[in-house]
Amino acid sequence: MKVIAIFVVVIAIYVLAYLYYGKRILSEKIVRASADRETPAIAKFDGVDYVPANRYVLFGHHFASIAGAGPIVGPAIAMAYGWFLPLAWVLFGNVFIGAVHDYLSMMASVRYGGISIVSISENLMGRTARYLFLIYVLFTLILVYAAFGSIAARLFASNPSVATISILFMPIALLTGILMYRLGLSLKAVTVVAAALVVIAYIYAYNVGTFFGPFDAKLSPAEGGWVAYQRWVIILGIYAILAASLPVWYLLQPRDYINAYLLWFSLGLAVVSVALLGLRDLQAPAYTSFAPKIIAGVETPFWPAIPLIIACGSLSGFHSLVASGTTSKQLANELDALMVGYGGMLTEGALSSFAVIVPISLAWQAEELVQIGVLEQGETLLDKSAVQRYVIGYGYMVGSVFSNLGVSFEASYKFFSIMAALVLSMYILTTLDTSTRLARFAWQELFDWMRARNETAYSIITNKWVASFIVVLAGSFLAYPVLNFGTPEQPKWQAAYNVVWPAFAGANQMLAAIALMTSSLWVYMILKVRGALSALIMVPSVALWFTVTAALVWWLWKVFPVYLEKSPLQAYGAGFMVFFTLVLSLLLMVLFVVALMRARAVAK
Amino acid sequence: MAFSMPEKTKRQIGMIVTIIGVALMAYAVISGLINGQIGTKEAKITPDIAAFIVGWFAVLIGPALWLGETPAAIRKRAGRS
Repeated sequence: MKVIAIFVVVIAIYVLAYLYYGKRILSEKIVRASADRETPAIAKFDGVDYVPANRYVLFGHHFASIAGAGPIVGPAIAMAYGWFLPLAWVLFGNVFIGAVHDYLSMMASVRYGGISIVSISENLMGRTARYLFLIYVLFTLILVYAAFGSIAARLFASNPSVATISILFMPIALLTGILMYRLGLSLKAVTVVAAALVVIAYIYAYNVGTFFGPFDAKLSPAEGGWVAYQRWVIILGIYAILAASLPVWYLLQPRDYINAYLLWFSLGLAVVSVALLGLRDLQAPAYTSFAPKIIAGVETPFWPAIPLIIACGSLSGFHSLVASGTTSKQLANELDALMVGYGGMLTEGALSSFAVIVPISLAWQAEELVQIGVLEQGETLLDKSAVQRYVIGYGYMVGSVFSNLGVSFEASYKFFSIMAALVLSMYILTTLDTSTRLARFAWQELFDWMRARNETAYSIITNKWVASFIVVLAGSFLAYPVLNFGTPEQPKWQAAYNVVWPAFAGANQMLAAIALMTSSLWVYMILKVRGALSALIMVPSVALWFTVTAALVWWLWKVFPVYLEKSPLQAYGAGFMVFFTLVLSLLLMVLFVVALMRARAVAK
Repeated sequence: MAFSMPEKTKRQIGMIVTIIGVALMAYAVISGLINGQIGTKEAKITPDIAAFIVGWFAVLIGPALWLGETPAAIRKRAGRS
């Protein structure tokens, strides 16, 4: 298969989806978005969380927040199926489930005054649903924090240059915010200054790495091989508490605005590279097997397990929390939601397609990578970890374009593979503090019943520093351990995310199903949309719920026993989370059906 | 009962924290230029990595205290005075 064929098909699907499905059906016919309706950012302005933002700035924040490591790591893992099935799932899930889910969560929140999708569930399914949903969300966000905190710490420990640029990036973001909001510089001038500073910081970091102690993944923690990793877990925890408690205009908005440029730049480079290398053939097989051994060495069937592997690239429940948590409170105009919500998710799918699936397929067992010692003879990218597949694939693809222009392949490969790792790091850091902020919101909402009974206790428990600390402490506790996935004789030490990832992905996808069911109820009950238009939302939400339920049952049946054998403590932890997820989702499904039947009875 | 620091004191502390943070980060960055790296692969924590991390945190929170309230530009966009 030629690369150009993939390029044309993906672009055509996204353009049609945005203009026809997103704009004409969702925005104009179902939600009937209007520029004349005042948004919560204006109506409830408080200078901390409710702050109207420029739509491009907000797109940057939203895209950077939703595009964590998921759209990169998930498709990279799924390449074990070959390139066709992961690409098909990304495209289908993106257009018909993920982008719809993000857009409707955002708009439902806007119409309910900026409250989260969880609180909306109370209006539609009752008070019990709200508290079940809140516990579920809090639980999922702790798993999100643990998975991403672990990946970030692993990335910083093994890529010192990425640690340097990631730290230098924050003061640049703060300065950007101050120039923009305090000194009143125009957006263009601020963008130029920020871009120049980022380039300088990148050149500096390319040459100066940050080392936080020894790191050798082949050694055990007792032998000191993981000191840097565990130190970064703690440092990133402190960062998340600070960043999640600061006003959004101060760090979050400007940081994500610059992030968006970085992400756009890397995505743009990927798209241009895909176009320029269009006549090349994909080296990876289109299809390997319906059930290759992926999770814990167990045969992993594409259906139902794919939602446990590809999360954010296709659809993600975490997005509903961002869309109805931070983004809806910053939306200055209802019409902006199409670009920010629906467009943001399509962009994330494009990232999975062009920056992960195509590059890995191109670099599969490239001779140039063997020559510079990245791959051994006979080795394929499938023999590398998921993060390495992405970093190597991206570096190979963009590096190949520059080597065609006369630059040494080795130098350009190194430059762009570091850039790929940097982009991944930026995604992850944003997700860390956004998930902490959202978990804080969920924590505060969970205790709202206490306010009327004991104001002092309520103010202590829901204090933003206390709430952030509790969430980060729980997440860091899960992220801290290093586990042996090999044997005592031939150990294979890996960071905790290898255990946490499937639990996070499962909880996250189930959250997407529940959030989409809530949105479909909103469309049916409040917007009074009926017939085929209503079914467009409801059918995918129920189908997704059944798929993820089947996937989680499969996980408990097939994967849990393997974990139990290798690491009982972690296995019980992950097993409890998956089981808890299943029980709560069953209860929420019952409440959904009851609410829907009542609504239908009223409609008749 | 919530403890509330006087605005002026908060701003002064913010200014001091910011200046210390910038100084610490600058020290670490210059040290990195000289040594070719910040920190070390050994278990000990060197002054430059300590300065880099502490400075990073100080720079994160210092300006927030120093600059205080929401900027007028944002209030204006929201139609508030």
